[in-house]
Amino acid sequence: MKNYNHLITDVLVIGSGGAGMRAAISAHDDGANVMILSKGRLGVSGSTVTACADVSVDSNSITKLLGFNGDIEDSKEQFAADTIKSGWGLNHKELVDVFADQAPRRVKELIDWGAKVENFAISPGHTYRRAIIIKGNNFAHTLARQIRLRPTIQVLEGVIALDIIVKDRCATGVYAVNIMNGEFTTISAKSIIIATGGAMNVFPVTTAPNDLMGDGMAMAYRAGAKMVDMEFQTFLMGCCSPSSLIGNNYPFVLMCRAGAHLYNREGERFMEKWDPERREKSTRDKIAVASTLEILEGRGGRNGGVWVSVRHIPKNLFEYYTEWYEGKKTGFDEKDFLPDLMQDGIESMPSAHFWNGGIKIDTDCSTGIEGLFAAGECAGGIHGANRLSGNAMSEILVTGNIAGHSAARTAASAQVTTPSKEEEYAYYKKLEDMFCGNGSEDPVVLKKQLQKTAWETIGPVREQKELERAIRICDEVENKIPHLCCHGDRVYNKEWIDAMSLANMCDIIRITAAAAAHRKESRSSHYRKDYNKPNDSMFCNITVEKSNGQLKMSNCSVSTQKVQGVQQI
Amino acid sequence: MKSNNKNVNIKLRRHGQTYDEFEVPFEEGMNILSALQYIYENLDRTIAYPVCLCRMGKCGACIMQVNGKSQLGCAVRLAADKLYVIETIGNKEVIKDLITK
Repeated sequence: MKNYNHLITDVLVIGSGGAGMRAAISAHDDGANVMILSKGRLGVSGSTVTACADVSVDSNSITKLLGFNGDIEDSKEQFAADTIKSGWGLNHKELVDVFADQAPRRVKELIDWGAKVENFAISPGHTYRRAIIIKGNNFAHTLARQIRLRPTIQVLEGVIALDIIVKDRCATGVYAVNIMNGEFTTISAKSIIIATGGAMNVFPVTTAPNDLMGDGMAMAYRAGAKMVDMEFQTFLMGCCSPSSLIGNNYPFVLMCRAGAHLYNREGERFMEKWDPERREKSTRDKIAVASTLEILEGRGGRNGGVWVSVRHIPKNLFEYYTEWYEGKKTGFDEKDFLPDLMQDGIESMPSAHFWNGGIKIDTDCSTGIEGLFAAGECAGGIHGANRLSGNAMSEILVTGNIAGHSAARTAASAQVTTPSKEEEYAYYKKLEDMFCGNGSEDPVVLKKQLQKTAWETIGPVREQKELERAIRICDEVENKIPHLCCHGDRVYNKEWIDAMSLANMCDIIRITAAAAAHRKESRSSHYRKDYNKPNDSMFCNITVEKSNGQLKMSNCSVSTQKVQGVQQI
Repeated sequence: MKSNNKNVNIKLRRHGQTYDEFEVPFEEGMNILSALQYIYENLDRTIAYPVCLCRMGKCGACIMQVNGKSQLGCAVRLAADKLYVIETIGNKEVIKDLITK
């Protein structure tokens, strides 16, 4: 039997974006030994670095705690109320209260650590001016600097966690692979924090970086944790051409900031049918559904999108509108890759932008699996059916901090458990076998098939038979995983990395499709062609868990979080 | 938006040593990352470039030497029928192709 690498830590943080870094800081400061796993590099991978980026806290605290010019009429209660209104009332209310209460202190701390406040703004859905503008890369670099100031925090870069090792509903470590040398590493930990972000890359077109594949959510699900609100994804208009800009949110920015128009192939401004007053300034959800229906009904372009156009705007006025946007970039300018916007439109389509649901957490970020915590976008509850603008960035600080403290507390009284050599061998053997040459399944073909399926079935427009098809295809692809064939050696092998992500993609798409099939109504970003109105009887959260190998769904009432009924599929 | 019969040529340094040349169909508005993705998916599954990429000039993971100049791969617009020589920057130890320690 082979020898694999073994590492031991108190607290293991999976993911090195904002939530993971913030969690590591708190766990370290509570006296725990902390290890961070990053797929890429600390401070530059994950979606935090790409955020555009408003950080929301109540405006009263902007004045009183942060010392800037806010609006003292505002309150934490009003901020929580706006968050719940935006989430269509499906938010975990206690979590929202904790979030609204702690966000100002966490943001103040970030500013004290050197984050640079650029400006303030009022964002859609907010009653008051709550958006503190801090650039995503500055936000991420500030946290990365705090990690480096704590040299006992071990940072493992280029390491992908594959599965959580669970013993008697207790998380004891992870199976992982170091992609830089292809070696397997088993990490034993007294507690684990999942901070891997959303799963937007299960879709072919996304505004998120390539890293966000939903690994942590899928691992937590397989470990037995409950998932909540998984049927709610936010889509916004991104480029579908040229290939260099696929998923880039420039069209969305042009619609919000420059008054761009949206056309179908017949030259109609189709948002007039959907929202005659606000048209292109309508909500992201309405625009996503309307655009998808235009595309599905054959009124899209050859790259599969509709057109975002600024041709009606005088050139010298357009330049003024976009000045602020270009100022944010270093060396990269969308306009270098686009045709002359005074002549041509940008072919655009709804692009996966945010995962509103995720791993169900309590107010201490616990997941129901002993020793397993979740923070940031991979956790569900705060946002309900739809996240309020700017809440993603303050939320990662709040839940990251809480998860760090909770994990350190658990670690203080837990023992290290290691898997047996036989278990370890059995786990890694199936990954090594992907190179044995006996298989014939192509990981890239399967990945593309899953992404195409996701767009067609769990995209902005959904219906029963398509959701059932999604589950069938995930089952089929999963059955092909033992027959995958990868080429070359194991050192930084992209094909193998794609192969290892397929199981996670199957789980995420299946959970989402199951929850979306169960929600026989339309609400927020979840739009059903066959049930196109909200239905009061579905005013509840849907949780999905893996129980005895089966996907089990439950309706939880929003106010009490109590289980109402169970459906097996 | 495929333009008929036009290509771009990508000469990629492999493992810090030899170069492999790939012919990629030209498309208006493509960048280095679109060409690398085409090569990975259609021509050679063993090429190595970063897995974590923001694709919008913010993360810096795709910094590389393009025709002798350090640039972000996502920020370089390709022209038809041109040759792009791509390798790692600086003196960092090469792990594989465009991946350094």
